[in-house]
Amino acid sequence: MSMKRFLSTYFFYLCLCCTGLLLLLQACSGNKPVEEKEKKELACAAFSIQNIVPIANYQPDSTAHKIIYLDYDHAMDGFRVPTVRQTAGGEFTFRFELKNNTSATEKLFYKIYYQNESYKFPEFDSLTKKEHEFAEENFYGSWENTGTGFKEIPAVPADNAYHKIEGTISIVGNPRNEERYIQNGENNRWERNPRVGNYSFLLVVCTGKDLSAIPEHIKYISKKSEDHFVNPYYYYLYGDGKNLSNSIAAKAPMQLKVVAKPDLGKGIYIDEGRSADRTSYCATCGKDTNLYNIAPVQQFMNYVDSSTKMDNIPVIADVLKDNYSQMDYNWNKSFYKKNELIPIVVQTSKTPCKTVVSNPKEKKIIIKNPGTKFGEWKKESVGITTRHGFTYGKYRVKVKMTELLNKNGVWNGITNAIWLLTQQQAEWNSRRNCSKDGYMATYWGGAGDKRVPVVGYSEIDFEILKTPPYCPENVFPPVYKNAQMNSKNVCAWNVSLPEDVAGNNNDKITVACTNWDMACHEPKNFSVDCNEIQHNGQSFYTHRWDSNYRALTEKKEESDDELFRSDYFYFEIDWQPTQITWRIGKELNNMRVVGYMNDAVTSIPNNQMLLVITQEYHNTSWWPGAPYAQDKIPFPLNDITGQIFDLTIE
Amino acid sequence: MPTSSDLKKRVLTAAVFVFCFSGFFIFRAKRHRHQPVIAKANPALPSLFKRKAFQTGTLLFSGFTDLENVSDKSITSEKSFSGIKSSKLSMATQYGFTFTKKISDIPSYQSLNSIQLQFKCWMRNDIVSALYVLSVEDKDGKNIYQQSRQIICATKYEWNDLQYSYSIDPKLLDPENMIRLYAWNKEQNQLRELYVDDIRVSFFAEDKKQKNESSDFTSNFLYDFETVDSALMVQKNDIREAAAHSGKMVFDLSDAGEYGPVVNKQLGDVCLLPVKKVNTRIWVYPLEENASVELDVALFNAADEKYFIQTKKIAATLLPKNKWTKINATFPLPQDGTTPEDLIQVLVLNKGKTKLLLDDFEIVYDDVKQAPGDPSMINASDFTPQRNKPPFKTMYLNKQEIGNANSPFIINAGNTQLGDFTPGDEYASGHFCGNAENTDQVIQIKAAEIAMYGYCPDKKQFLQLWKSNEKAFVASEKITGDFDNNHTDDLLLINKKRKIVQLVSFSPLSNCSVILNIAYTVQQEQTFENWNITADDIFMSGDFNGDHKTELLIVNSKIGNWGMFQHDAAGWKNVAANKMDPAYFNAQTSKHTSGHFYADKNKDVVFISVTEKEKQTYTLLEFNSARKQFDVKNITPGDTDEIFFKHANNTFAGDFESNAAQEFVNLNTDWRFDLKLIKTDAAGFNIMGNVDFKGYPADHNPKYYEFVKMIPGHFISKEKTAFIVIMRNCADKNFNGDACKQYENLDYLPNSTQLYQFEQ
Repeated sequence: MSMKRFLSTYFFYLCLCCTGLLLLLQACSGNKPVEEKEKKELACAAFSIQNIVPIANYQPDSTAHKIIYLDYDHAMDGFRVPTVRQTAGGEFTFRFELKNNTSATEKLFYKIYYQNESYKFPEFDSLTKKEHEFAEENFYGSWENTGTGFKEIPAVPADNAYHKIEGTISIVGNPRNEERYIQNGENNRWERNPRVGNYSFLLVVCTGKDLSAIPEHIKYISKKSEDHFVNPYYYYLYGDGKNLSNSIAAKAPMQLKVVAKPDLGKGIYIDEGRSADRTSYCATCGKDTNLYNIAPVQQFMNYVDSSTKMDNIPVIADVLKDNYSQMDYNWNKSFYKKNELIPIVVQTSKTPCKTVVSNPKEKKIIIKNPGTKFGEWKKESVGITTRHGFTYGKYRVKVKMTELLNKNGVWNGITNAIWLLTQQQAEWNSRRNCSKDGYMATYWGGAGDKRVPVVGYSEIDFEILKTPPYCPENVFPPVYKNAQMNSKNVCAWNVSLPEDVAGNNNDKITVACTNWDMACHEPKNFSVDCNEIQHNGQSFYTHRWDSNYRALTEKKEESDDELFRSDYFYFEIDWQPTQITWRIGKELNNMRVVGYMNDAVTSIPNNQMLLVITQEYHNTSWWPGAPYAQDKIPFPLNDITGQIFDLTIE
Repeated sequence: MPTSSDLKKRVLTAAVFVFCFSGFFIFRAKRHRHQPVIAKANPALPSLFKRKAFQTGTLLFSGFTDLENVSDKSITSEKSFSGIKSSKLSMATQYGFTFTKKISDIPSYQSLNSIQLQFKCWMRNDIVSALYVLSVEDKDGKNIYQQSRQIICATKYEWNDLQYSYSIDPKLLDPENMIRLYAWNKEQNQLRELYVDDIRVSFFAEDKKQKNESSDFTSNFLYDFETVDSALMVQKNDIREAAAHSGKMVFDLSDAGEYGPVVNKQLGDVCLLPVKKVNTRIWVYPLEENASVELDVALFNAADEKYFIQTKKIAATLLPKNKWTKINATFPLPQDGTTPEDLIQVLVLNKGKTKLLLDDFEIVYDDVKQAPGDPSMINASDFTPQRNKPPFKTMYLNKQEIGNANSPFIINAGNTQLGDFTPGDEYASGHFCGNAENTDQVIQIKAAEIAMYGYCPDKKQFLQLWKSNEKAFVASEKITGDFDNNHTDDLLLINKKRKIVQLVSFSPLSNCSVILNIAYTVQQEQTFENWNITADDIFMSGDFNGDHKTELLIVNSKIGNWGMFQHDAAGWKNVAANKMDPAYFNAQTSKHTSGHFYADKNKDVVFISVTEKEKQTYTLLEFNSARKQFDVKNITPGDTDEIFFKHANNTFAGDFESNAAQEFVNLNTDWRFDLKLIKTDAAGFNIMGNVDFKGYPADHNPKYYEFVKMIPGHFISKEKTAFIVIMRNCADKNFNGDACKQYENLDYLPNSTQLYQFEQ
């Protein structure tokens, strides 16, 4: 028999033997942290445990992975997993079986921890051989009452039999009950909402003797050690907890996947000021208690920057439908007198609910940049934002936002934006300290802005508009011919766009992927200008104007028709602790990466953000090299509509 | 006799000689191709460029001093350019003579835009610290602005002519402010002696025409090297045939030479000041690895001193071998301190000194373009339209189908092409034929060919109704009107030279299908009762006295005499005559239009526009039948910058929106195609809106054409006036909008004749 044949024949038995041996070793050592295999016994000298089921009262048929969708009903105070609408009492029931291995009744203790596994830093830093410096940021918790350390297990008789132990657990925001999220005596659990993604459960059972050896900050997760939290997963799986002789720390094989998938037909809440015009309020949009409690989104009001006042041409046209041409653009650009121009600032709606609609039947949201009538001059941005913040997550939207270019390749002036924005610029939502030079203090300030160690501002963007790529550096900026205001010479005013902008077809728009890192110099490859970054065999060029520029951008040219002409399209921001990936695609299983950054080039935010979806009018001076100037683009004749069909955060 | 061995030797010698000689040629030829024997001159030397001076605008005021009668501690008699005195800066004297001018003392100071300083300068040694300073002080003497120019006297021990320009921010134009200009030895230790003499300070206003219409400038340059541009003459030997990015020729640096194309221009030649930036592009084809190319932009002052440079270098990683790669670059330039005389140099450097080819070098000098007019004062968020103030609503003329496939011919169906309408032809429209629809026809007078066309509603086409080569039509002015009172229009041919008129009438038209069967009569040559026709006469037709008959009004534009005539079987009878202010009819400054503009008046009136000193005044002439005199009423246009009509040929009275009273449409193409619909009311003129077009093919909006003529007429219905719109582009180099020698058909904007009517 050849070695190959021998191995293939006896491999299974070999594995079985090894596993048995391993289990025996583990059981004997007693203190080794393990991942419990189903129905496998874990043992130490004092006791054995088996059949750890962290979630016994939910989706009983799923034994390995369970999925739960966040309950948005009454979730403004923070998400709970589960809620009373999902399980009886709004708790997961966990259970395990315990056997006393001694000859006397033993006093034993247990505690169950959970941790978000999808969006975490590794607990163990293989370089320093210590706890990863950011492992304390991981979303882990235990019982909601952090004053409860270990619970005493009712006396287990020495009868050589397994006894079922049962308890409850739920995942809540601010699981460590940190002071940071408590204001005016109120624990604002929503300020540290449970993360989406997979959760693991770690059961720790120990004897009274071992319990006394477990540090207080592990028993009580709200407590710190040397001003830092210590991740209990680190302690038990890699740290001193490993050496406890009569303790078992077992990670349950079952994981819970938490997904946020709000029902967009549940309404739009208006976070209004006193002077709001309520004439467009209705059952599914407005400000009332019901909408406050159930609406997953609210109308987003863009910041109106009065410095972005434009003198707009006095033309009202439907660029997308009116066959508006490059020649039309060129004429209108050149031949209006100053006193004919309309001085405007890009606005947001003064009548909330007029331009955003929640459709309960189709469970979708419709947004509209309103059309303009003569005299009612406006370019009005529109959008919605989620109301419940998260840290990290894979944000995926299925949308049909407005087309940006018409068949002549002329831009309608809209920027389709799908972005994450800091939930609040407050102390509770500060980003991690930037240890090298600090952050620029404000996102709107100039290069002379002061630097501060922490800021609350964060933003991760998809911005899709007509603008050229900045990179590689030899392509930027395109060379635009000068137009002359001479109506007696068509060639003088009707100048063509350069080839690299118009191209062979006029369908190209730019998907700009940006992370506002507030110019934190900490990333080891922090850089300015154009720099290549490789990811899974793909090359991306990051661009930053200067070392004080607050955002790092990557741009990719895509087809406007593909992204916005079809019935729907998916956009995804995959925000992870050490990297951000931007994906787009027509189908879920065929998304392509259009942007990628990691913590080597940019500071990845770790605070809580909201998702915003907008159709915005940008001042094109923000986009150097843009071929169409916002003030030379007509006011919209008709409403410009976008639809949001689905939002999933997982 | 040579022996055979001698022969062998000779053959061998000859062979060696031939080999060597040919080798020499081969060697030479190779050297010629790749290594020019003569070293190249440095093409980047600004001194190779011959400069010229520029006019900076409208001179408001100019002051001069030869310093002979000036008392100042810098004044010396040691040297002088003129007279015996000059102003001297030395280690002991830090400031030179100060020229002072209060802003309110400058005529029309509100438009002051720049100051030009000219002076003579003499110095012994190179200095870097001497400046000529312009400062502005407020009424309290506080220095609120300062601009300086480095004094560079290029030739030592000689008097040099120096000229500097200073731009003036309008914010500084407080009448109480004071402008001072003086030489300043900034670093006193560095200067031994500098003499200044014969100082002229000129204050210029922005040349509005130039500022508004940058048409004099060519600011886009593409050097594809297919022909040697004059800017590259110095480097013509580097332009050779090779595998080019476009065409056949490249800028050949296969010898690894350092200098690519170097383009020098004076700023005043390429754009308006201040120049904003320079955008450049070039295609690079490295013939070997490690290519590195740099694009540079530099500015040189009058003394060829480089005072600004910016570069963009592209590294080898982005310039792969044997591939055309584009390099774009933009260079913002200083917004202050440049003068039209300054030299701007754009060049490409082969930094890697590797072998490469260059092609399609593009340079765009981007200036700060200013649309005409003052800034808008409207409040967009609380907008209330104001009478005769922009923005105006847009009204639309809708294209009507005339079945001519949008060709320039009014008839273009099947094999028939008739009526090649061009803006240069003469047209008259009127209800000449009394057709069933009571619509108008148009007569085209094209050289000696005259033809009438009418719209056939059944066929939705124009038909040629009549044609002639009647000479009387050619050398005459034409006035349309129902002079013979038979409910159809006649055409009055006026021959001022021969001092006669002829009335042309047409027989009724039976139906659309009838072509060329119209009878017409040209009446005998006639004169007027009590009126001798002169070259100064202006003719107008209308029902001025409200008797439902058409009168002919003749005004002598020089002396103001006028006569009103009606036509009957006996000829032209004078029904009224008098005199009015001839200014209303001055051929150079006045324009007029007549029509039934007031619904409550049963007669036609005349509007007159008089232009004086770029200002328009408007007058209404209404005939008073009782006094047999025209009542004159001034029309106050109100607080508006609009010009209601300026060009009589482009002011069209008609029933555009309603037929209760006529409106007029005014076309002004001075700056752009500007078409407005204007109604009249008791308060004067009221602009109803800007008129645009709808329904045209592709994006061939009539207003985009270089030369447009509009012929109004009730061509489709008797209730509404439509326009035949003739659209052409002109190939003439300096086409000014008035006349075109050679029309040009552009693929993207083909010449066309179309019919438009206001939408319902």
